[in-house]
Amino acid sequence: MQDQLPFANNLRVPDFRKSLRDACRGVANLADATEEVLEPAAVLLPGPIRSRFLGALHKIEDQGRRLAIAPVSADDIALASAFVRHQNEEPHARDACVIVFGYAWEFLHQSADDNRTMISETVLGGTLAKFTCQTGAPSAHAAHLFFHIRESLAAGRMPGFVGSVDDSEREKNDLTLLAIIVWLMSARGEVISEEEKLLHLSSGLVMAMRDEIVAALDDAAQLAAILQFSADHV
Amino acid sequence: MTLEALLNDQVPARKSAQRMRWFVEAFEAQVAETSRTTETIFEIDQIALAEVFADWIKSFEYQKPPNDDDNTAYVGFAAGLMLKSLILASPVMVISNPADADEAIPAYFWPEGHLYVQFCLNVRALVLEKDFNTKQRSGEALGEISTWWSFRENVSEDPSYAISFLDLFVGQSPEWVAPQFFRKGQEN
Repeated sequence: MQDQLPFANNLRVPDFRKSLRDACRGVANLADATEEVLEPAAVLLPGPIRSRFLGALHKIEDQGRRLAIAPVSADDIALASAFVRHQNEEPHARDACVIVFGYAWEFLHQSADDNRTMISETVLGGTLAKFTCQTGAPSAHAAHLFFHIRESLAAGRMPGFVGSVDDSEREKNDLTLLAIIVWLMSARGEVISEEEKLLHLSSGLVMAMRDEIVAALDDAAQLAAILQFSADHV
Repeated sequence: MTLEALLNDQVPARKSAQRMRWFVEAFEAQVAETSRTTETIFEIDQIALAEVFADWIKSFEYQKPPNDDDNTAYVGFAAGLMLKSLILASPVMVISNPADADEAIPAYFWPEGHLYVQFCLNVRALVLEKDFNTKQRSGEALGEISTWWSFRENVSEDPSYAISFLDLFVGQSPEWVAPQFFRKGQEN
C-alpha cells in the first residue's frame, strides 16, 4: 500500500496565501469600485439608507485591505532588492519580490488614500517566473523588469471593472511601479519603519521627476539611467 | 536636533546632502529649530519638498565640476542652487507668527525666506567644515533688512539671484550676471 501520494516528490503546492490576498484585494477594490460606479445613483437614496449602504461598503473595503497586506521582513526586502538589481534570480528571491511589490503597492496607495487599483500577486508571480533579461547591469535589468510587469497587467484596476481608465491613471500606475523599483534599487534602511519612509521618499522623488520619466517610457536605456540616478539619490 | 547629528560617520557630509533621506530629515530639523528660536510655526508641503530636492539634485549633477580642485567652490554654488530650488517650490507655509513679531527683523520680514537661507547656510557650513576643514564666513548683509528687501524683490523676479544673495550673506562678492552658471575658480 502506498503511504504517500504518487509523484509526491515532484509535487509543488501552490502558495494559496498569494491567491487569498489577491481575493481580499479584489473584494476591497470591488467595494470601492461599486461606490464609485453607483455614486450618481446613491444620491437618490434616502439619507439613512445611503449612509448604511456606504458604511457597509467601507467596512468590506477596510477588512479586505487589512487582510490583503502580507507582513514583510527586512530579509524579504533585501531579497526583492537583489532580484530587481539582477543579483539573485533564485525562486525564493522572486517570491520575495512578489510579496514586497504587493506590500509596497498597498502601502503607497493607502498612504495616498487612493484605493482604486490593485496589484495581483498571482499574476505578478507568473509574470516574474517568465522574466528573463540578458543584461547584467542592475539599472537596465530593473528597467526591463518594469516594462515586463507593465505589459502583464498585474497592476491596475481589478479584472471586470466596468468604469473607464484614463491616461492619468495609467501613468500613475506606471509611476507607482517605478517608485517601488527605485526604492528597491536604493541603499537599504535598517528597520521596516525606515524602509517605509524610504519607500515614501522614493515615491516623492519619482513623482517630482515625472516629466523626465514619462518622456523615457519608450526608451529602456534612458529609463534605466533615470532609475539609477533616482536610486542613488534617495 | 542639529544637522551634524544627522550625519553618518561613514559617509562624507557632501554625500549625505545628496541623498533625499538626509535632505528631508535635515530640512525638518531646521524647521523645528527655526520654530523654536523664532516661535513662528511652519507647515511643510512634503510634495513640494520632494520637488525641491529633485530640482536641486538635477541642477547639482548637471554642473558638477570634473576637477576636484573646484569641489570647495562648488559647495558654495550648490548651496545657492539649493536656495534657488527652495524659493521656486516654496515648500513651507507660515501658520502663525508670534504676536510681537517685528518685521524689521529678517526672520519676521520674510519667515519662509529666512528659514530657507538658514538651512542652506547650515548645510553649506557643515559640508565645508566636515569635508574641507574650512570655516564658513559670515557677512553683515545677513542681518540687514535693506538687503532682505532687495533679496525678496529680486528672487521674485528671477530665483537665480538666490545664488548671488547667498554669496552676499557669507561675505563673498556675488556674481550678478548669469549667477546660475558655475564658474571655474569661483570664490568659496
